[in-house]
Amino acid sequence: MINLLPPELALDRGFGKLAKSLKSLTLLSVVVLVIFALGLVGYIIFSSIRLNSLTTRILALETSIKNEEVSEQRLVLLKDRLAKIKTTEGLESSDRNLEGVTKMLTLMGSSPQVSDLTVDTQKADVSIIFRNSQELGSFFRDLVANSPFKSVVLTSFGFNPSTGYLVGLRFLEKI
Amino acid sequence: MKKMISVFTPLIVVLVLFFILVKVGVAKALEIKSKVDQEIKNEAILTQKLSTLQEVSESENEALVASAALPGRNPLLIALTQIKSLAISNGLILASVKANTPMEQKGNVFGIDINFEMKGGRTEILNFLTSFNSIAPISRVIKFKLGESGGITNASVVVRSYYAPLPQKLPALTEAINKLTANEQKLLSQISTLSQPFFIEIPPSGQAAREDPFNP
Repeated sequence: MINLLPPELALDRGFGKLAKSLKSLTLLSVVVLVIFALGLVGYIIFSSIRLNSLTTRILALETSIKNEEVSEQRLVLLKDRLAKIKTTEGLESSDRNLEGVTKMLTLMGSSPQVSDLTVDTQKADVSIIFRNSQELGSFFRDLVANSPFKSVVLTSFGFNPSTGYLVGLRFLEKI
Repeated sequence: MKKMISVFTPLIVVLVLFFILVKVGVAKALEIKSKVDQEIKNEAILTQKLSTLQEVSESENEALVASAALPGRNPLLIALTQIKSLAISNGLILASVKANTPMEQKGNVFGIDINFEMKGGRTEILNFLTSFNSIAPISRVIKFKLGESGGITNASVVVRSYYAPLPQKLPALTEAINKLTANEQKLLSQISTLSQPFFIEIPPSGQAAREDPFNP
């Protein structure tokens, strides 16, 4: 083989190897680029078709839901009312003290007279007139055994020969 | 130098094209993927929502019961009707009925305090007071004062009746809606047993002929 290329124009051996490597690398990069581009375009086209299909189905569902607007209103109203009713259960009331007082007055019977009873959300204050010491003792025995309250405070105690014993009690913290 | 440039140029061009493809193409692909994922979620929500709404289409009575228990407007007239009805059924006499301005209690729930006095037997009054847990609209005894004299019991009572403004709008179309939970069903069963008032709405009276006072 005759090399007609002048020696001063001949390629450096090292540079030649580099050029060859770069050529291979470029070819490989082009192949990867084309495959990647095709894959990406394919994915975009497929996803777009899928998106259109989903959008159509969603529009149909939205139309059906709009036709059920009356049912939706009822359900929303019902859930709203139930949530707010649940809120009222936590609000203050004298229900527990009333229940305790009712139980206590039932224990007492109709004989002792309740001259004053005040019940609110925090406590129950009661003034009771007992005709005699038997009634008084019986009441306190029943109260000790069956009190529906955690705390009972004797607020006043008096005696009137004509009416009997006037006892003031404060009940706190229904059990 | 020229040889260097000519050797590297094709690779550089490929790399630049690759960079543009990644930047633009991948961004577009991710954008579409994000939209597809969102639409899949929306489809699932809407399918579940439609199924729920079709199942609960018979809930008209339940909504009425809940609205009677907690009306959307000041329930003063309805509460007074219930108080009078309870008093009559317990043989009690009502007097001096007054009502205060409604006040917000908690979480957009309002209460109106109704003060009244009554006379009767002690047991009947206590029965009356404990009956408030069984009437609609939901009412609670806040305070009472009771005194006995000559076999007659006088009571001064404060009852609070509750109401809450109705929701103003429906949730967004793509917002999920669930059936009643077990706790909600239980609460609904409880309020279904409340004694309903004789009327919920007072219909407007019809037109009547208006007399002309100037031309009798």
